[in-house]
Amino acid sequence: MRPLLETLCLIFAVLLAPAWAVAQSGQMTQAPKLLEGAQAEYPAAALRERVAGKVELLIQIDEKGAVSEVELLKTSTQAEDLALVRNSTISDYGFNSAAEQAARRLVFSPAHFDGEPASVKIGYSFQFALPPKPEPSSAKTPEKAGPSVVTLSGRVRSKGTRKLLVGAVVTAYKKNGSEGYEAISDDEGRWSFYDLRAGSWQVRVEVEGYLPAEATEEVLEAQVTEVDYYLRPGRLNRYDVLVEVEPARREVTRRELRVEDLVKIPGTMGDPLMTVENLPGVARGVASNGIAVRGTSPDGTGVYVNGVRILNYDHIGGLRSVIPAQMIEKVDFFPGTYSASFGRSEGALIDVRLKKLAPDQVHGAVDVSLLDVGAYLEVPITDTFAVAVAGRRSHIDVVLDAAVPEDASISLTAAPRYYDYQILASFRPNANHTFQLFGMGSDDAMELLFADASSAISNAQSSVAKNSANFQRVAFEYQYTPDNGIRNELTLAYGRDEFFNSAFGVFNIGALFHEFTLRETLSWQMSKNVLLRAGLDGRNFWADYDVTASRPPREGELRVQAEEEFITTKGRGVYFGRNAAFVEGEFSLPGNVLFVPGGRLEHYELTDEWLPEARAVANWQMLPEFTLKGGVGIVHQAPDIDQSDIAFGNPALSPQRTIQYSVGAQWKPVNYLDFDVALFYKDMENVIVPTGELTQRNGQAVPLRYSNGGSGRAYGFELLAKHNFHNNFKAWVSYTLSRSERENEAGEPARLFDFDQTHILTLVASYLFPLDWELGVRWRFVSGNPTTPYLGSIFVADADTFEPVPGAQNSSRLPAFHQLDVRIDKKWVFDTWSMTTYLSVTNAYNRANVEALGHSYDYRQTEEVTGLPILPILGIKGEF
Amino acid sequence: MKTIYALATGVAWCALTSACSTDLPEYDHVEGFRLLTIAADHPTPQKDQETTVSALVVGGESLEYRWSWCPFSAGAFESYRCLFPQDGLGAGWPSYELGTSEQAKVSFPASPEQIERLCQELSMLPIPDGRSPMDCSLGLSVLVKLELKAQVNGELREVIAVKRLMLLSDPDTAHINTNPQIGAFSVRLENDGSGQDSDSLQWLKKYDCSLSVSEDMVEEYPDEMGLMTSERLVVTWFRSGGTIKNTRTAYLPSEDDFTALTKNTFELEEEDKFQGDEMKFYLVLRDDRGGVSWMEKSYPVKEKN
Repeated sequence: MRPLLETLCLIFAVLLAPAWAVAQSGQMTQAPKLLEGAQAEYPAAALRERVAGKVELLIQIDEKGAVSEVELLKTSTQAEDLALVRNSTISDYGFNSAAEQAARRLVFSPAHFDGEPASVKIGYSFQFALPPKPEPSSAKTPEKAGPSVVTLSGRVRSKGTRKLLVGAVVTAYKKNGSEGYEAISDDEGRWSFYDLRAGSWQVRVEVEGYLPAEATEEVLEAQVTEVDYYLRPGRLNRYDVLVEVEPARREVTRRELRVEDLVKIPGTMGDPLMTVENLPGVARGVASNGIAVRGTSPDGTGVYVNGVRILNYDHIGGLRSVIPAQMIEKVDFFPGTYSASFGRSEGALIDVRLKKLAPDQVHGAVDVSLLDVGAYLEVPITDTFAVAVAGRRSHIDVVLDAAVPEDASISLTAAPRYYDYQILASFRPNANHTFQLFGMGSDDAMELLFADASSAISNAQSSVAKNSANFQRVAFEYQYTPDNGIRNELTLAYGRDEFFNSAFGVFNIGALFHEFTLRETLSWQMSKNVLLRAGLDGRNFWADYDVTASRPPREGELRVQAEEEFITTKGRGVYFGRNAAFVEGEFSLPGNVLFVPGGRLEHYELTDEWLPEARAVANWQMLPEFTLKGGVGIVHQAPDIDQSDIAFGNPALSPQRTIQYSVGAQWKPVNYLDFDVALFYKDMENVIVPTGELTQRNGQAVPLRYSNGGSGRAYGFELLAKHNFHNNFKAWVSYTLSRSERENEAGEPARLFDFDQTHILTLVASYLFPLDWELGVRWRFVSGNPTTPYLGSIFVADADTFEPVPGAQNSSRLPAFHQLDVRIDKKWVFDTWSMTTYLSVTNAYNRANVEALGHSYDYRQTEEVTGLPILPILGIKGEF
Repeated sequence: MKTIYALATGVAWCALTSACSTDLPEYDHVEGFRLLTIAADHPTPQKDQETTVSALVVGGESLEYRWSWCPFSAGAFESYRCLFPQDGLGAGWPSYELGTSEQAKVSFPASPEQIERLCQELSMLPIPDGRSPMDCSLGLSVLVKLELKAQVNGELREVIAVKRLMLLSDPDTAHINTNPQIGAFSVRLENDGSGQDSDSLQWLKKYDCSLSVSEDMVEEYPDEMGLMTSERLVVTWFRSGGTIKNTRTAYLPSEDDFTALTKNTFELEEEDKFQGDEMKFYLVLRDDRGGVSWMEKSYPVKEKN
C-alpha cells in the first residue's frame, strides 16, 4: 500500500507495444508482465502550481525483465489554473525526469519469443494526477497498533471472461479526500489494503484497456472485507491478443490474421479460412473450389495446421473449414516467395497456428447458428499442463429433411451433414521444454436417392449418389530451447484420410490414405545479426484405392459427357514420398537490411528426381515506418495422385516448376494505419497438360494422357490498406489487379487461366457502438470468371445426349460479381460470462451474381445460374 | 487429391441441384424440328451383313440427309471430323459417303483379320481430345454420321448426329447385339378402377403410362473380364406437350426392378402451353451397346374447359 499523496501515479501497464518498436523474429509466446511497480515522485513545482501531467515512454525490457532503455515519447500537462501556468517559466515541471527515473525501477517478467526470453520494447505511461487540495485535518495515514492486518482485499478480473488482471491500480479513499491509499494487483490479480479504519471507503479500480470501476465498501472492525471487481474491457473479445508483434520479415509478403480479425467479418460466418478470401491475391472461390492465389489453381495452395499439411480443410460444399476459431491464435497467409522450410505449393501457403494454451482458469464457449452448433472448452490441469477440446456438428440435414417435399424427385437418404472435433494439450515443464499434442478429425456424409436417375444422367446405372469424407490427424510437437541461442522443433504427425464418392453407378471413388509427417527444424542464433536454420520436411503416405471414373477434368479442360472413357484402377499400399531438407539464414546487415537466403532439396520419389530450390528475400527498413522488400523463389509442385497413376495418368510426369518473383513496400504512417503493396510475377514451366499422344509400355501403345508440355505465367499488383482498431473503428481495403495465362503446348497461343480474375476488390469495415453493438460490412467486386462459349452441338445417339462444340477456350467472361455482406453483433457482458447474438446477412442487397451458365440440352440457349440469394443467419454464442 | 475430392463433391452437389427448376427447354419436350435418335438394324454388323441406319426425325420441312462413316474420327470438340483418309483403308472397304436418302445402307466386307489389323493400325494414332483410346478387343468401332438440314419457319436448321457401329472381329457370337423392341404403349387414368386404357387425353388429368417390353429384351454378354453381364435398358419418353414425371426410365441390373423401365406418369397441367388437339408420344428404347428401337403413338386431346 502506498500513500496516495506520495505517488498519485496511475500506471498504465500498457502491454500494447507499438508494432514498429519491436524487432524480434519469431512469435511472442509470453508477454512481459509487471512484477514490481515504481512510484514516480510528484514534482514539487508541478504540485505547487497545481499541474497534472502524463508522460508516455518507450521502454526496453531486457531478457531478465529489467528496464534497459527509456525513451521519452510524449509529455502532456494540464493545469488547474491556466493563468498561473501562462506566467510560469517552468517547461515540463519535472514530469519527464520523474517518470524516467521511476521507469528504470520497474521490474517485469521477461517477454518470451518462441519460448525463449527476449528483449522487447513496450509503451508505458505515467500519469500524474493532482491530489485534492490538502485540508489540514485530513492528511494522515492510519495509525498502526501492532502488526498490519488485511482489512480490505480481493481480485480484479475481466468482466465476461474472468481473466485475472495484473497491474490494476486499486485506490481506496475517503469521499471527502481526507485519506487515500493505493494497491496494485499481483500475478493472481489479487490486491490488499492493511489497517484501514472501519467505515465507508470509496474504491476505484483502473487498468489500461478497461473501463474504470468505482464502488463503496464498508470496512468492519477486526474483519476482512473480501470483494472481487470485474472490469469491463474497452473492447470485448476474449481472443484478442495482448501484444502484436511485427511479423517476421523472412517473406516478402506475409499476411497475418489475428483472431480478432477473423471472427466477425461479414459473409465468412466467423470461419478463419474463409477470411483469407478477403486478402489481396486471392481469387474469389465458388463452393468447394478451394483457394486460388496469384494465378495458380487451388491445388497450388497448401493448408497447414502448426506445420502439418491438411488435405481436406473444409466441409462439404465449402460451408465451413474444419478448425474452430477459438483454437486458433492466428492464420499466416503467404501468397508467394515463402520460407525454404516449406514447399510443394506453387501458389500459396496458409499456416494455421494454434493457441499456446495458458488458461488461468476454465474457459469455454458454445456457438449455435442455423448452420451448426459448436462448443469449446479449455482447462488448466496444472500450472504447466492445459487441455482444450472443441467440437461441432451441422444440422443442415434436419433443415433439409424438413424442406424437401416427400414427392420430390430426390430423397435424402442421408442429408448433408458434417462434424469435426479437436483436442489440444500443452505441457511446459519449464522454459526450455514445451510439448504439444494436437488431434483433430472431421466427417462429412451425404446420400441422395433419385426417383429417375436416368433423367439426371443418361447412362445412370444406379439411383444413388453418395459422398463421404472423413479424416483424423494427430500431431506431436516438441520444442527445446536451451539458453544458448539454439532452438529445436520436432513435429511428428499421423493422418488418416478416407473418402468415398459414387454417382449413379458410373462414378465410384474409394480411397484411404495413411500419412506420416516429420518436420524437424534446428535454429541457431549465432550472433545478434546472424540466425541459421536447417531442417527436414517429410511427407510419406500409403494409399489404398478403388476407382472407376472418367479422367477428372483439369484446369483448362472442358468436361466431356458422351463417349467418356471410364477407367478402373485399384491399388493397395501404394507408396508416395515427398521428402526434403532445407537450410536458411537470416542476416541483419548494416542499414537495417535483412537478407534471408535459403535452399531446399526436394526428392520426388515417383521419378526419383532431386529437385533443388533456391529462395531469397531481402527487406530494407529505410525508415522506422517504411520498408522495401523483394524476393525470388523456386517451387516444385508434384502431379496430383491421379495424374501420376498408371491407369489415369502418366507415372513419368515430373513436378511442375514455378519461379516466383515479388517486390513490394510496407508503410505505417501512424500506429493504426498499414499500407502494403506488392508486384508479383510467376513463371511456370513443366506445366502438366492433357495430351492425346501414345507411349509404349510393356510393348504396347498406351495413352500418355498427360505431359509436362505446358507453360504459363501470372503477374499482377496487390494493395492492402488497413485501419487497425482505433476509435472503435477498423477497416481494410484489398485490391488485386492480375492476369494469368497458360499455353497447353509450346507454340500455342496463350489462353486465360480458368481462375483468372482481373479485378478483385474487397472492402471490410466494422464499428463498435456503445452498449456493445457492433456493425460490420463487407463489399466485394470481382471480375467474372473466364468461360468458353459454345458454337453448336452434336447429337450423340448412343448416349442420348448432345455434346457441345466449343469456341476459343476461355475467350468470354461471366458478368462481374459484387455483393454486400452485413453482420450485426450485440454482446451482453455479465461478471463471469458473456453472451453474443449475431445476425449475419450474406448478399444483403440480393444481387443475382452469375456463377455459371446453364445450357439447353442442345446448347442453343443459355441461362444464367446465379449464386445464393440474400441469406440471413442468426446465431448465439455464450462464453465463460 | 483436393481436386478429386472437390470434383466428387461438385458432382454430388450438381446432382442435388439438377432437380432445380429452369426456364430452358426440356429435353423430352418435342417442339418443332428434332432428331430424336438413330438406329441401326444390326448394331454389331458381321462380315458382308448389310446394315440399315435410320433416324427418328420430328418436324421440319425440306429435309436433306447426308450420311457418312469413318473408322477414326476426332472427338465432339472437333465435330467428330474424320481423321483417317479413305485412301488409307485400301480396297474392299465401303466409301465414307453413304448417301443422302432417309436411310443409309452399308455393309463391311472386311474379314475379322482385316478389321483387327486396321484397328491396331488406328490405335497407334494420337487420341483426339475427349476420346477414349481405341479398344480392339472386340473389333473396330466405327462412327456413322448424319448431317440433317431442314427448313423451320423459313430458316435453315442443321443437326449433326453420330452413332457407333461395332464391326466385330471376335468370333464369339455372344457379343452380337440385337435391338430391344417395344411391344406396346398405353395410358390409363390414374386411380381408374375400370382397367381400361384411355384412347384420348383430358386436361388436368393424370395418366399412368405403360410400355410393354419383354424381359427377354435384356441380353447377356461377356464383360471385359469375361463374366456374363446384363444389358441396361433405358426408355426416353419424348412427348409433344404436357408433363412427364421422368424423362427417362431405366432397368438397372444392379437394382433388379424391371418395372422401373416401363412405368411413368403424364399430365396436361393448367399452365401447359400445349395448344394442339393431338398429343404425340415418341418412346425410344435403347440398350447400352448401341441397340435402339422406337415407337410413336398419338392421342386426341379433349378441349380445355
